[in-house]
Amino acid sequence: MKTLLIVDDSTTIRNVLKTSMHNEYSIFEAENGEAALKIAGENKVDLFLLDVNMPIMNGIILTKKLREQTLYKTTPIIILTTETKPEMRQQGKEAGANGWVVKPCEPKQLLGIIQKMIGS
Amino acid sequence: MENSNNLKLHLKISIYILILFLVLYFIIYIFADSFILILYTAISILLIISFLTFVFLKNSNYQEDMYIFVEQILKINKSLSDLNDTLYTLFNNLLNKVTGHFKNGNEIYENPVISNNIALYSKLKEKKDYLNNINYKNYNNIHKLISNGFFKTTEDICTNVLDYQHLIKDANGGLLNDLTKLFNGYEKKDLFNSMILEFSIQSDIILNFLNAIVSDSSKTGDDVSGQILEIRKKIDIFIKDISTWKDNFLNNSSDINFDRLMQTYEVQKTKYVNISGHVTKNYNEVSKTLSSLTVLVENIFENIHYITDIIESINILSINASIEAARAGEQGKGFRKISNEIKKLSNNTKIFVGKIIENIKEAKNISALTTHQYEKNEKNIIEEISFLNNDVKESYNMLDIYYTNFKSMIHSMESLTEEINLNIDQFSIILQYFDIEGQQLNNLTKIINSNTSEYSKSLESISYKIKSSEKINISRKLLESTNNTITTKLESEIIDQLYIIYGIINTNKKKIVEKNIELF
Repeated sequence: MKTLLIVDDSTTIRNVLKTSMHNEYSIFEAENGEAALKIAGENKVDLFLLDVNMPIMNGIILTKKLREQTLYKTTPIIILTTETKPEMRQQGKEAGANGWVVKPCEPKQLLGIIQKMIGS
Repeated sequence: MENSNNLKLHLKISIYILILFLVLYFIIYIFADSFILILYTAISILLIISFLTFVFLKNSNYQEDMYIFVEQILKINKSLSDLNDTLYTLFNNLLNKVTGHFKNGNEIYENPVISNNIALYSKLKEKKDYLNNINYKNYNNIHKLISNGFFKTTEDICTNVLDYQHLIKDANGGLLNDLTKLFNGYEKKDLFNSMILEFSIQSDIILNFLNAIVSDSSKTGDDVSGQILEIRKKIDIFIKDISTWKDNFLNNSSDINFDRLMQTYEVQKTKYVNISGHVTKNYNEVSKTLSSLTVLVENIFENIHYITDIIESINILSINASIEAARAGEQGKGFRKISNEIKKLSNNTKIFVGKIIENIKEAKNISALTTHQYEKNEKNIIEEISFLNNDVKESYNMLDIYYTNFKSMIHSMESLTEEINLNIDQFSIILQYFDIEGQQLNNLTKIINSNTSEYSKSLESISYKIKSSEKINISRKLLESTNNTITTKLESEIIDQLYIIYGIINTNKKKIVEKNIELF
């Protein structure tokens, strides 16, 4: 079973994502960028789902840090955020993210995107 | 405070200088000529104007502070008004979404298929009521605060401040006029300051409420999403179970599948019915044969009489023949032999027929007995077979109904889980809205917090010191007025905390008994 890492400071959002994806994927979760880096260091993650606005380390910086690691150079990273500003989207793209999904999103739609990226 | 003292000092100095000028004017008037007097008067007027200008400029710092303050008040008022709009939108949206969602949910709830899974739905209903309760409660809190005059207070302050602003602007018109107006403005200062304090306390109250609502909303979202995750996990296990049942009972891959069982049962039932039909038929035939046999035996028995009659006739014939043979003498010798043989035959036949009759009698008795027993058993056996047939048919029908129900049950469970999953997906979106709007609320609270702290700093620089007893009185008055409108535990806790912050003993504490969950 492939592994997802959900990084969001909201328990609600983490639960919502787990609800629609726990059957398909093995799921790790983290409240912020720093905790996510720790988990990503200890486990092999196949896809990252990151929020942007988080305490300690935000999603953009986390994306950059992940891309610095050889293991995660090409691992899909999807940003899941309420941010709609084009400049933020650009920042995410430049940091190395593969997708930008604006909340609220249809869980099935998101699952479809993930399945296209890494399969079931 | 400083400005006020400066103004009083400046006024005192102005009066002393004026008196000094007047004394010097009379001395010059008595001892000097008119040119010096005019020169002195002109210089005096210039000096007085310069001094008054200096006083006005000195006090205009207060005006700058006031302008800054007014700007900040307006800024706070704007953000509070934004907050007000956002809160209304937030709670309206949430209520509409939740109500709309559960309106559909209710239709599902009324579905007879779902009524079998009432436990699951009662959990959802419980959550719905919990959510509604919290949203209405929070909505009411905000609404109450607004209707209690929070915004009215800010409006009043702003009107007053704008009033003040106009007074200050008008003060530029003419020196004496300005000074008078400025002093008139100062008369409003007590009212103004008490309103500022009131505003400050109201800000604390609403900020505490907002923080509580934000944390409450966030907790609700976490709680509900956690429950939904658990429900989803259970549903997934349930779906796997159904799938296994289907494989086991409805598909042909398993030995114990329902379809095969039903087919086997059908074949066996047919066989059984056929066999029992055969048995009944054979029994009937045997019974008929037995009856025919009995009739036959009766017939034979009746015919035996004819035989015995014939034998008797032969016997009489042989006796007669013997008599005739004796009469005939030597010529009747052969005839006597024949009559003797006939007699022997007759006797033997008599013995034989006697035996036959006995046998036939016995056979007749046995046949009659057997037929009787057969007739008796036949009735029981046919009845039993008929009962058995009915039982088999009935059990088959029941099995058939059970089988049909089982298939429909599995189908219903599948559509039920699909519907629940669909609802969970919809709910996921609502929860995301909930989270996003909670974040927005949190951000707004932060903005208001920072505006309020800026405003507090500004307030310190321009407001004179209100006596601590007066502050306590105003705080108590405000808290007590809020205290009277408390209906929930959350409000009660917030008000308790504020009483502690303002160092006031709550003498009129209201006891709140709140139901966490209420089902109607």
